[in-house]
Amino acid sequence: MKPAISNNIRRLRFDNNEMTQQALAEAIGVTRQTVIAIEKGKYSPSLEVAFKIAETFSVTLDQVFQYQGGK
Amino acid sequence: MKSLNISFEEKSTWASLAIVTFIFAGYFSQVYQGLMDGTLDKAAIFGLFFGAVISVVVLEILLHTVIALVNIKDAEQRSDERDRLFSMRAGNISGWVLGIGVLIIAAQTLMNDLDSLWVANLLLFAIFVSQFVSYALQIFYYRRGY
Repeated sequence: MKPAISNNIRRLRFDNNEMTQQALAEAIGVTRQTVIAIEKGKYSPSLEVAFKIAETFSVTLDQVFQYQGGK
Repeated sequence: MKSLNISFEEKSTWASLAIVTFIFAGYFSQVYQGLMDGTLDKAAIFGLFFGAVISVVVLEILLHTVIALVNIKDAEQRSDERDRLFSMRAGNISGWVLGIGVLIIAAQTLMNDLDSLWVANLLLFAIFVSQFVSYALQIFYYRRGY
């Protein structure tokens, strides 16, 4: 089943000097494995972590996450 | 050594599942046989139980130390919201398992007038099953995603 929420984290990391998953994890206060799970769409983070990701990349929330539900 | 995208918390859960299953499978098989044969008295069962608890504690410390030493960086990371969410969801379901187990044992005790040694060990078994379900569900959530 396709996850209801997709994300651009992989591309955003690439655009930010190939930021590593570890560096992103440390910036938003989660483990590297949680960043991997979010990137793969296997875990939907809390709003707080979602905003921290957007803040880390200096983009808006909808530039990071897209809701696919109901389509 | 590169960790296989398995967090310290997940490895820790795998270790706890293995230890609890290994030790308490042995304990319950011995106690069941002993109660059926009538070869175990209260003191012997208490000895077995005490030994099982000590074994679990010692093995937990040993295995978690080894897991931490294999990947110190992962071990230094604190559990995060994903770990806590999985733990809470698994705990919610395992709580139901324990509650249903206790109700069944209570009904059996009232209907069949069970001996206290049987009741005590059936209650321990319900706790064991509940804990097993909790660990297994956490691993399931880590593997499948949530």
